[in-house]
Amino acid sequence: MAGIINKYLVFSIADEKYGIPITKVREVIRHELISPVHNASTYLKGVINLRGKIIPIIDMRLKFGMEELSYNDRTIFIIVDVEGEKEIFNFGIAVDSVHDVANISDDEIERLPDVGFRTKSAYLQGIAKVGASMVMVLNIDRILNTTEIVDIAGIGKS
Amino acid sequence: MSRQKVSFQSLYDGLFAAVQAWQTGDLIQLSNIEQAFTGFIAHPGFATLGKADQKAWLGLQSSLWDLLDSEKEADWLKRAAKRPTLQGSEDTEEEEVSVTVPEAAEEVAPSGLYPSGYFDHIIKDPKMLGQLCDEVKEHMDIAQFTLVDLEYDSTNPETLNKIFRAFHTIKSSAAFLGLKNLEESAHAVEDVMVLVRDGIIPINKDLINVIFYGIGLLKDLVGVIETSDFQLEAMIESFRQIDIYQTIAVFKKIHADHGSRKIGQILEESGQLDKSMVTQILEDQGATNRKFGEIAVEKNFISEDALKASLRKQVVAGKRSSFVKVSNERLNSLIDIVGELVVNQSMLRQYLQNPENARETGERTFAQLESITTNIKNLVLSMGMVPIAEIFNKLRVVIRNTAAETGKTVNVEFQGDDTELDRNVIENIYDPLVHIVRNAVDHGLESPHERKASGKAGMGNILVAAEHKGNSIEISVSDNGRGIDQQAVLAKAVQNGLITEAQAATMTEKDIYGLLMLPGFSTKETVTEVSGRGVGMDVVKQNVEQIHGKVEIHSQKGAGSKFVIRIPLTLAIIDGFVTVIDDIKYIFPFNLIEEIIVPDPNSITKLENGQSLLLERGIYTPIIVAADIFGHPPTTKDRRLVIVISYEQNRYGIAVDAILGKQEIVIKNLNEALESLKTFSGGTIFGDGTIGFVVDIEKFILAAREELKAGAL
Repeated sequence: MAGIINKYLVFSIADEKYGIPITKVREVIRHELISPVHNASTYLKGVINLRGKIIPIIDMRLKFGMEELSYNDRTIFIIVDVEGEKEIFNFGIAVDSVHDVANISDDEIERLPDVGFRTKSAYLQGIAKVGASMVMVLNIDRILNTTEIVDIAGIGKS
Repeated sequence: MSRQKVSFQSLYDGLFAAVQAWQTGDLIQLSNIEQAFTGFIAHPGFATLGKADQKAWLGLQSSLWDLLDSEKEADWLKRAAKRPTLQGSEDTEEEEVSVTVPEAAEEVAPSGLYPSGYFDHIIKDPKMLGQLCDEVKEHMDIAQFTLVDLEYDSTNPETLNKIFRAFHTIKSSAAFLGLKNLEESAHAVEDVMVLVRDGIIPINKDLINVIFYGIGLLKDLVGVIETSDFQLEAMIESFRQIDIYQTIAVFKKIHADHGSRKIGQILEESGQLDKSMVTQILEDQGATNRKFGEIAVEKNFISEDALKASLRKQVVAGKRSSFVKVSNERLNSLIDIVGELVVNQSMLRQYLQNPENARETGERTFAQLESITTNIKNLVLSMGMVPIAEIFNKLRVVIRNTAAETGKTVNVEFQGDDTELDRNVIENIYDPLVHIVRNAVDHGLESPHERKASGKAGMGNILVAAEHKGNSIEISVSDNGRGIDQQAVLAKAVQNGLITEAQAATMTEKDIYGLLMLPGFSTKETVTEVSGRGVGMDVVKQNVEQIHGKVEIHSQKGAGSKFVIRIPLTLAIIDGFVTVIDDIKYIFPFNLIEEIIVPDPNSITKLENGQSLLLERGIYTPIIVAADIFGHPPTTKDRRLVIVISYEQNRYGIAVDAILGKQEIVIKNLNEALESLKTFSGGTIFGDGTIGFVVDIEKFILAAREELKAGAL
């Protein structure tokens, strides 16, 4: 009966809780200075220098079409591993705050109803109850697949 | 003096290596030893040796001489004994072999060329077909440059074997996939190669030409598979248009002339396959019309695992470009250094645990760490380097084939084939070099007749050399042909409207050669009759510039030309020119920068379509506002500095806020998430931790043109 239990990193964006599989997380860092890039989608805030590697940062609030919030000392960058077309690459997602690591069993993740979730539903794998709160499980590979970024950047330009 | 010593040493090394190879039974080395010894004793360095040493060497030489004579005799006898079926002199044999190469089948072959069902058994698996294509191409490349070796040294059994194996492998792989036409063609060549390998047919130029023709056919067939996008219907349709039998007939004729009596015996001697198995399979195949591989597996001649394993091997071969070969030596030294690093780490920890330690100790540990880091950096960079010999081998084939096509005799020499280049540079430099050597043979060198008329040796010389020069690598292709006729080049440029008569009169030698590399300088035909240069030179220049390199041309009329490609040692580090726009650093390639201008506002004119022009010393230069291209929010700020770059013979002014100057830039990849940033070829991190973007100038100019178009609408 019991499904496979995986560990998820739980964080929040605008009072909503989200989780991503811990195996996808490379590291969690405090926010730092971003060098902006201009010719890209608005949610691509820019790049940071992570010990000599150039890592792009995605602002999740902008990605989900929420109101932008300037970064404060609780803002966290979660650096994730994503399978690209050619290789595994990294980017960071800027979130409001990070909570903890939760065990979620596969069969606890409920599929989402199609209505009421606007743009987000494409990236949501499902929703799970952790303690008293609901955690939306994100499919991080889908959050930013390359084609999509290019598409949106194209729309932004024209 | 020291230079002489070095080359004396290298002679000695060469001699030593040759003797060693000979001792291991490689008889071919005999002539090498002779040569090496003669060079060694004739070298001025020999005179500097002690009298006793000299005597010892000379003694060794004369005893070696005696030995060589007897060995050579034995060797010759051995080879002669292998040709029992041949009657008559060598000359008549050669005549028999010199079958004329048929013209490529241009007319559409009748559809009845192949029996019905001939193509019915092709396995419909794009992946496997793709793997086969890669495999065939790789083997044909090997066969090609091995063949060229063969022309110089026709007796080396290993060389012959290599070519034989290439065709043999293709034959079997094609049979597995049911590609009968490919199989039959490879088979025909293989049969002839067997006779050559066993010394029944002597190899000569004509035969090599015929084999090259066979390679061409196989490559064509593979090309059909690839261009049809692995769609069976389209593939078969094209296959039907290609008459393989014309070529096969040539090979069959050679085979019949020389080996009909012995074929079965020879195949058994080859020992590569158990012949009874193959015969059995072929019999079954004839009866049931099934695939070779299928039957082979069924009969337990080959296990299904072995079949899969061989396919897996093909996968590895297909994706080989994504691997790097690292020598054991380098790997071992990397492991050693990492060992040092671990020791250093524990030293550092100890130092930190005990705050009473002298500052000196800490500094010493840190100095060690620094040297370890440098070592690792150098080692890791060197791992991405490959010797240019890889390309030289292919160029040999190109030169050989071009010479054969144009009826010229060429003596090719390669120097510095152990020069190491960045893997990515190697990939980008191949096409330009092919263009240049083809030009050198086709247009640079005169025909033997013409050469003799102007008092030169009938055989032309081409030298391809590579060497390290400072922070860059210089690859040059020189010929001793007719050189470039500057007047003809000028006349052509004027005729094509590239320059005016007045401009032509003031041009320097360098400018004139620069014209050759202009797009639209001329088409192939016209240049061939006028100056003999210019075929695709604009493409060459473009490709070389893409990897931050430069092309130079030197020439002397009647004496020859030299084309020099100068490229940076590695693509990972470039000379960059750092500029600032709205506090973001952008890096332009330094080699393109012409000058920096602080323009007088009055010298800028704005055209109706929004294009600004800068007038400076009588030259109009279009200005590109970099901030617009990079998508900065519009501002009223005055971008007051203009850097002028020269790209594809055009000048562009780029307006920026500030200039930080020239700096060595280590390029870091921008990952897939940033692929939309098309105008950048990468990023970099400066000493203070800030990030800069490296501009891809080609895409930048392209984007600027589009921006202008959009603005004009």
